[in-house]
Amino acid sequence: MSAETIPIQKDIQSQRRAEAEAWRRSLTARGILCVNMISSPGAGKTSLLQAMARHWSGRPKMAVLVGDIATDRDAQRLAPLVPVRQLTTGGACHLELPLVRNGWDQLDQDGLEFLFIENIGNLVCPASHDLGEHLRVVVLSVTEGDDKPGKYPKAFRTSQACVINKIDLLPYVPFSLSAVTEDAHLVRSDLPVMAVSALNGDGIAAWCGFLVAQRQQLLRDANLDL
Amino acid sequence: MHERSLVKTLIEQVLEEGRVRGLGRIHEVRLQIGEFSGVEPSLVESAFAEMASESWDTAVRLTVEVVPLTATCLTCSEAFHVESFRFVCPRCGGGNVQVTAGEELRLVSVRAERQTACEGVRP
Repeated sequence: MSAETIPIQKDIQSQRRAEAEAWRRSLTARGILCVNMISSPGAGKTSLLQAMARHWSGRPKMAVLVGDIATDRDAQRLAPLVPVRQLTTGGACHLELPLVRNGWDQLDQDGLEFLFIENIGNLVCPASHDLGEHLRVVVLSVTEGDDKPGKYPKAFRTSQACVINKIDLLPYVPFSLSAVTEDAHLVRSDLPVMAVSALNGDGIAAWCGFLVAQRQQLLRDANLDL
Repeated sequence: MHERSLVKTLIEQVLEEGRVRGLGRIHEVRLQIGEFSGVEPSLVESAFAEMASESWDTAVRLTVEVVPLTATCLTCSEAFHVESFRFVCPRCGGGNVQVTAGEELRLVSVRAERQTACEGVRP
C-alpha cells in the first residue's frame, strides 16, 4: 500500500491554550486578577509576596499558589500572612495548568481579588506555559546582572511587567537600572519596569498600586462592578 | 526542559488524527517549530526518536521545519526578521512591533497509508 501526505495543520498546543483561556475567563468573571510570577531561583518572589501581603494587610484580598520542585518552605513563609497552597512538581521545571487548578480547588477563595502564582525558579520553561494568568510578571534581582533581558528574551517578551528586586544592594553590585531597562525595552518596548526592595519596602507601595490599577482596568474591560 | 511533554502531546495527536481519518501505518510526521517557541528542535527530535518506538511498531520519521521569527512594525509597516531576539524595527527603530511568525508548534502533515478506500473522514 502506498503512503500519501495527509495535511493536518494543527497547533499542537491548541487544547492547552483553550483550557487556559477558559480558566482566565472564569477568574475574570469573579473579578479576580491572576498574576503569574516568574524569575530565576532566589530572585525574591516569595519575599516580594510577603512584602505585598504586609503592605495590603488583608485588603485587597490576595491568595498565593506557590510552586516548587520540593519542600513547602515557601508556603510556610506565606501562611501567616495570606491563604496559600504549595504546589510540588516533583522535578518538573515549570508549573502547568492542571497542577495550578488542583491547588486552586483547595484554596480559600472567598472574596478573593488577587491570585498570585509563584512559578518554579527558572527563566526558561515557565515563559512557554500559559497558566490562565491576566498578567505575567518577571522578577529580576540586582545580583543577577543587568544583561538578563536579552539573554532570556522569551521571559521578558511574554511578561506584562518587570520587577527589579533587591535594590537595597545597588551600592554593592555592578548593576545599572537604566541599562536593564534599556535591554528589557529592546525585547518589549512597552514593558513597565519597577524597582523595589522586598527587604526594606522601597517601591512596594508603587508596585501594589500598579497591580490595583491593573485589576480596575480588568473590571472595566469586563464591565464588572465588583 | 519540556520537550518530552510536547512530544507526548504530539504523538497523542498523531494517534488521534490516525483514528479519526482511518489511517494505517504512519511513515512520517512533519512538524513546524517556531524560532521563538521556546522549544529546541534537536531535543524534540531525540525525544521523538525515543518515544515513537513506544507508540508504533514500525519506524516513524519526524521532519522538523524551523520557522523564522518575523514581525511587522506597527509604526512604519516594515516586515522583518527579528535578529537576536531584539524586537526593534530595522527601518524606523521603533519597538511597537507585532510578531507574525516564529512562535508556532504545528503538526503540519503526516505521511501515512489509508486503511481502506472508503474508511476514514477526509478533512
